Amino acid sequence: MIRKLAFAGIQRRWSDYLVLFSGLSIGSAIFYMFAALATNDKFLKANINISSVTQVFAFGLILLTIITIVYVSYAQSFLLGMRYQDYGLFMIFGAKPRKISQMILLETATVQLGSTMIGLVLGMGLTKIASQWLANQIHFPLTGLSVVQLPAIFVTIALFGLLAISSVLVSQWIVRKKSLNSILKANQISNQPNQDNKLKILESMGGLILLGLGFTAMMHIEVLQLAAIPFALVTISSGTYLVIHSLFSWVINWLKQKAISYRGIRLFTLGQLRFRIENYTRVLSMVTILFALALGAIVVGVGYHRQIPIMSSYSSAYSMNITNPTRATDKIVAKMDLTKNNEYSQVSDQSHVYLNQAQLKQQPIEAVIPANADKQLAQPQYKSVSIKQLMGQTVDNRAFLMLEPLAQRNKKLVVLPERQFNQVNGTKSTLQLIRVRDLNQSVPQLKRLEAYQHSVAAKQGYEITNSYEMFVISNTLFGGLEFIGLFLGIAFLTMLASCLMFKVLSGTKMDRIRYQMLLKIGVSDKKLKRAIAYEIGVLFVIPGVAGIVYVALGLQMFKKLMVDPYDQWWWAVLGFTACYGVYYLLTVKLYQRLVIKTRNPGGDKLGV
Amino acid sequence: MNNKAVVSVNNLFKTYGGRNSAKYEALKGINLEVQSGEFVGIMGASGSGKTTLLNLIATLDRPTSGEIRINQQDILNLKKNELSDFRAQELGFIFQDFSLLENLTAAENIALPLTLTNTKKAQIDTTVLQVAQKLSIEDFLSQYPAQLSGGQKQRVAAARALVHEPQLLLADEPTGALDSNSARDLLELLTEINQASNVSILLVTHDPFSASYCNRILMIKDGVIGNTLKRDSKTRTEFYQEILTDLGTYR
Repeated sequence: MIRKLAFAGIQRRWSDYLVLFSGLSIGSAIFYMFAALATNDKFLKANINISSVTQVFAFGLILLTIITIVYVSYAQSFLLGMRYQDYGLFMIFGAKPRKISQMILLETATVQLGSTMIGLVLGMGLTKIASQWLANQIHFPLTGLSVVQLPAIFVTIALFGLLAISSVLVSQWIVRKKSLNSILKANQISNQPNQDNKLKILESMGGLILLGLGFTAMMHIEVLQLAAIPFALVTISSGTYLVIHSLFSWVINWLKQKAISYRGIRLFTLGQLRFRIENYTRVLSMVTILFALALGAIVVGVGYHRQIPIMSSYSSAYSMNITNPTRATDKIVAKMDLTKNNEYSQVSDQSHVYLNQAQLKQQPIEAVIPANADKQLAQPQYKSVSIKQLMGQTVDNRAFLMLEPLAQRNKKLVVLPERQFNQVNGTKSTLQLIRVRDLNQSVPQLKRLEAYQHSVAAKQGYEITNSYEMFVISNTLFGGLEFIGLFLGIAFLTMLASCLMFKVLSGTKMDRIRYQMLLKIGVSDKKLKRAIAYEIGVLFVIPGVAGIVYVALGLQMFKKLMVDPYDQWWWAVLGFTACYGVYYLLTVKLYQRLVIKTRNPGGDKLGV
Repeated sequence: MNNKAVVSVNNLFKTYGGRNSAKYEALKGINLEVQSGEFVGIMGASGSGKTTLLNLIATLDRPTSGEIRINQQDILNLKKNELSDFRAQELGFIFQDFSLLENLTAAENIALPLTLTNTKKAQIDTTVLQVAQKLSIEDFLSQYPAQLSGGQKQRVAAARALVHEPQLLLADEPTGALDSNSARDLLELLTEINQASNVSILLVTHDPFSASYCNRILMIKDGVIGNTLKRDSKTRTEFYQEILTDLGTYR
């Protein structure tokens, strides 16, 4: 009977349970994704050239655990919110608390363990898809990444198992200890917002001090070393909570006094926002931190993605050198987006390489102008190399010879007037030098051209011949960071969006009553929909704006790791905000459907 | 048709269910009129169709066939948004469960119908205070519904229903959740408002005591209006006795 009652509850509220179930599944999937990286020491060490990477990931995992705990507790309160009245009713009919406890155990176990299992499978799939896609995007060969990571499976099951057990214990405690009446009215309990202004000022001051401490720690990471990260996490999280808590209610109070709030149902929207301020403060601070982490990770990832090809371009004026181009290489080259494509005839004997002066005058060899410190992230500028420089003992001479096949590199370079050049004896060859517009885009073709090349300098020693080779080497050095940045960014974005969405949607039960009431007294559908868009908009904008500010401050930390972390970071912000905006729209649509949609506002025959 | 009729309902039918489910006729040809300033009660047992009728007049639901005019306006011709505006301007509601928004203070709840018509804040503040004084609730205007008693909540609900001076006040079992003292207070208040402000009131109830405050009572059974009782010059107690007698014979 107990099982029947428990599952009847699930069947009856199928759509609510679906929200809960999918929310929990996504939560455990993201947790697994992160854990699969964090617990894979081999992968981290092989791909990321920072000695403390394992510790950084351990902190990340702790943070994600805290977030997951909060997330699951929301889910559990959503579940209990749906069931309290039923439990109360069963108790009125004489069900003993022991029976109710069994029901709670059965329901929670089914929902939480079921969703964890689905989440694990989902997490493995996501890890595979996301990592492959990303690795392809950034041309980074991942070594040691395993989709089925046993310690990660263990950690995920352990965490979600523990959370399920504690959820059950808490719920059972509530049902046992609370009076029947308060169980029946559990959904109607409302917290009255605190109105003390002095307290609010004190609170926001405290919050700002904590935020200041946190960001100072991050900016001086070289002094505090690794300790800066947990310190910053704690201070910034709690600072955010205090500031949002005090500022949010202060702003709403202030707005409520203004005449502008006395139009349409603005007053209601403000009341709605203020009413559940305690709950939303927690979720908003959490989402702010997540937003900052996700955006920060993406900005850094994109930063490396943009930086690697540019840095590589400074190593040589040419992306690729082809000795004796063939029809096959011509075919590949024809499809590439090039800014330079020159062919030079040359003749070589035992100790010389001869070049045609007329040809060099027509299409001079170019060299990179070394960048100033402040212009390191701009595309490099080029200058023509004079014949004198090319023949002398110069850097340019060396750079040109590096573009020759290995056997030619130690010969002397001689430039001859055309007539002499045509008469000189030796092996004739053609050297084709190309420069691509964008290294990131041309990687596949460059890779194929490299195979046709006689010399593969990078494999012979430490000398770099062209910028493509530099790109390959830089990518193995920094690509790991880029990968982690993008991977974490996407994981955090999914987590934060589902957190916020879940929180907003879990409030629909009570909100529906309020919105239906407004419909009855004459508020049009359109106005209600607009009010919902505003209300949820505020909830999305607060963590969004705060998150962007945090990233702007947090990027200071990367000044030690990147040339200019702020270069074009707005593009990443825009892209991220667009994705975030999609979540906003989705939440608004779902919420509007759950709260407003009815056959008729007065209910049906059995309603009202 | 009488020009002073605030509500006029002609041959109203409402059928629930359809192709795939069993049909149920909730209203079977209702005709009624409420004159300006009249206090009319609709009585009937549960399932008799009285709430369906109120919902149709309140424009919360659409009839299967028939005609409803409020202030000479055919409400069935109004579009969805026009209906919302119509409700906001012409009608006042009092529900059994008070239907107060618990995230707004009493004052803000009362102000709501005025903010819907974009009245200026200063004007709203004055009007809310006036109506609150009339209903003796000015002392707890800044409190939230959760801090008020049932009777106080229903007074706030009444204030909200009256603040925009509607032509018609619709009350659905307004005393259903009140103790007998609060119920008596509220009914006396409604009578007073009805007489002083000339607001027509349509009260749906199954409680003879509540009904005894009305000028006229329409007895509804199985979707049809049966008896009509008129108070005329009778005292409230006499009228109450008449209702009880009628209920005894009508059932």
